[in-house]
Amino acid sequence: MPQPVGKAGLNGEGALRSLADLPVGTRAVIARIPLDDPGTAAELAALRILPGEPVEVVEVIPLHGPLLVQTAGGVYALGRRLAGRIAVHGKP
Amino acid sequence: MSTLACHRTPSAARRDGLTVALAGNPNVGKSTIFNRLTGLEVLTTNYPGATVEVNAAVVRLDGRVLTLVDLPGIYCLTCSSGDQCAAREALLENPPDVVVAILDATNLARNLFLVLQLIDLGFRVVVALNLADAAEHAGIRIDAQQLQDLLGVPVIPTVATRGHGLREVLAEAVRASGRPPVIRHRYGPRLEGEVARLAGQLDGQMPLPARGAALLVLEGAADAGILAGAEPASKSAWTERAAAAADRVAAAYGEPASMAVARERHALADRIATKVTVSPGEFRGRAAWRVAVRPATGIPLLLVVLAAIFAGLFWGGGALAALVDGAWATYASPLIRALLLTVFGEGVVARTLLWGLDAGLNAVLSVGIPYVLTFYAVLGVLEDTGYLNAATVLLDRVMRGLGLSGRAAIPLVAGAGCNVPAIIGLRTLRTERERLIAGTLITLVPCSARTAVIFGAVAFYLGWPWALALYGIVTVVVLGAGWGLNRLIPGGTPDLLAEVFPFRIPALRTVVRKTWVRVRDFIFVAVPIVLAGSVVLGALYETGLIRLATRPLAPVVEGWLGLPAVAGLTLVFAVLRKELALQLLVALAIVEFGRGAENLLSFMSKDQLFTYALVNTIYIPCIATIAVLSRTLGRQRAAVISLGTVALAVLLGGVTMRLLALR
Repeated sequence: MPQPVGKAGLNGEGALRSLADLPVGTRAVIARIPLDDPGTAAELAALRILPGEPVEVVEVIPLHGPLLVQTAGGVYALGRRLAGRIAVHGKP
Repeated sequence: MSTLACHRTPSAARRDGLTVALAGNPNVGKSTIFNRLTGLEVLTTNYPGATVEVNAAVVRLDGRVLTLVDLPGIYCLTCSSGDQCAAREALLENPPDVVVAILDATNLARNLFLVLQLIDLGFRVVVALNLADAAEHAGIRIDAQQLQDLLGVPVIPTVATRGHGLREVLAEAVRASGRPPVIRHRYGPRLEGEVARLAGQLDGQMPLPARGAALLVLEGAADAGILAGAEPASKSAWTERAAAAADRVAAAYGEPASMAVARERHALADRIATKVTVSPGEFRGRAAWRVAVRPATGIPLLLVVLAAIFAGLFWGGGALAALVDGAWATYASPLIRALLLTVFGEGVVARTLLWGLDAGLNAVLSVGIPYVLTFYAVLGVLEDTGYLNAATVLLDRVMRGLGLSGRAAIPLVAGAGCNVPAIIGLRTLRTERERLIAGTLITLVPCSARTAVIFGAVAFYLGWPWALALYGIVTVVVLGAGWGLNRLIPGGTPDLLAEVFPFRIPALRTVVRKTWVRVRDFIFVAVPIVLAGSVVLGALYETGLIRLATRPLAPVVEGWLGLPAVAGLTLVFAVLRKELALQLLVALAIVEFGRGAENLLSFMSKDQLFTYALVNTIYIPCIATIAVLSRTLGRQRAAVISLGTVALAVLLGGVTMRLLALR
């Protein structure tokens, strides 16, 4: 699987974690999003799922189901693999 | 003409006078506004991807001719799936005179993103601030006048479901068409500097204003026709300049230019939204979907919903069918019979016409309509509450096993109404692979016509557990086919990325109208085909030619499937419309055994009826589905899918007959 590339993790703000690893109720700040597919990247950007934006995990569907996240723009369902490729700052 | 209604192909309306495009995020009420303004029935639903082809209609307003174009819901003008491409092409390659941007007043900032992009591209924009009632209910107050001042475009609060403010929107669109486009907003100076520099190099080559084109280029979305008029030499020089500009923006912002532009636009949308929001309110009803998406509650809820559909069809549809059948036998049938005998006298002609006008119409009314009507009424409620949208999240995990994302659940469910719009709806899927798998599976999903056969034959004569068993077999077939295709076709499964909408209480008016439109189209398309089919079959029967016609089918139909050969002929005819199979069978039984022989059990055994319905359900959907399948996936694939389903149906039918005989 291609590694996510994008805005580098900001120095000194703690390790990056995958959005998919966050338990329900966690708030975090997005550090980077996958850019290898321009269409998906553009849609994430339009939905305000962008580096620097706050995000809260509101629901995790078990058995590798999707993650539901609340952003400033609304509630979105992200496939687990896509969520796994979105990095968030370890400590917001 | 509605593109979502059963078995009709959309025709492009002639562009005449002013062209006004309706654009907006999914689920903001675009189709409702379009319907209200045009009286045209584009079906509205509470899930994204309902308007999958661009609908257009011509309306008159105070003597002006306006062509209204209803675009699919989009968040931005960047291609990532077919429906977004359709919206983008309609806007960029065939620019409308005015764009009416429809906003969800309860989610202003996110919705303003698209408005700013539209204004950037130099469109004359009129903003319809929709869901004004929902915003008010939630205590959200927005200063429309200030929003108008900041954006430089007219802003009109609207309540689409009640028609409030819609005439004003159109009147403003007409006024706006006479004015030059206005761009009042600016992004950060660094970005605007690069945009101006790039725009300076483009001037005069673009159908779009230079600033808008430069921004689109930096967003990495400039492939679609914006260089239409440019010379090849200048095209390549320009591509180099564009890449250099994107690199400079990326260096300045520390992220790709596309992200930088999106970030600046969100920041501006946020500032504007904050400024014009007098009271932010508190939007409730956000959490109801949780019940539907959590497996612990979602799976029981899904089962309850499925059981409710089944029960509705069994009791509701069944009662309706019995009522219609009784009324026909008492009032219509004797009248038609007497009339035909008076006009044509006793003979082959009158008897052939009786097939169509008595038995055929009776079958349409008692087999087709009751079940189709009931199914569409239930589907309408499920769509408008937003339940289907939430169910895509719950079903994502199951869909992944079939090589699909949860998004594909919507066309698959739509396929249970009619396969044709469901296959058109494949455009909302992201990859060709996903469209191919979902397209194949849709043809296996029993549409309302096949449901009519299952309920009209199996549930009606054998009881509901048999109908349930048939659905069980079909479910296993669909899951098995998806599982197999996922392993057979190379490539990966795309990720789910979808908005989860709050639940809404469906408006009775909308559900009733939507059901009526779907059923009306069913009647208009089905009646002539059933009439023609039953008259042709009748002529074959009355002239004795039917023995010749059934002879080639006998080895498979009689030998392998164990059905009367003549029943095989009705299965062949059913490629025109699937419910035709049972309707012709009923007509055949009436002619053969007289009235009262609608009780098919005098004609076929229970095992035979079950096998018959199973074969009818699985083999090629119908001619309209094959046509739309070839258009969407290509002729070859459509042919493979069609022949594959015939083989599967014959195989399963024969095996089922033998298993049933073992009892």
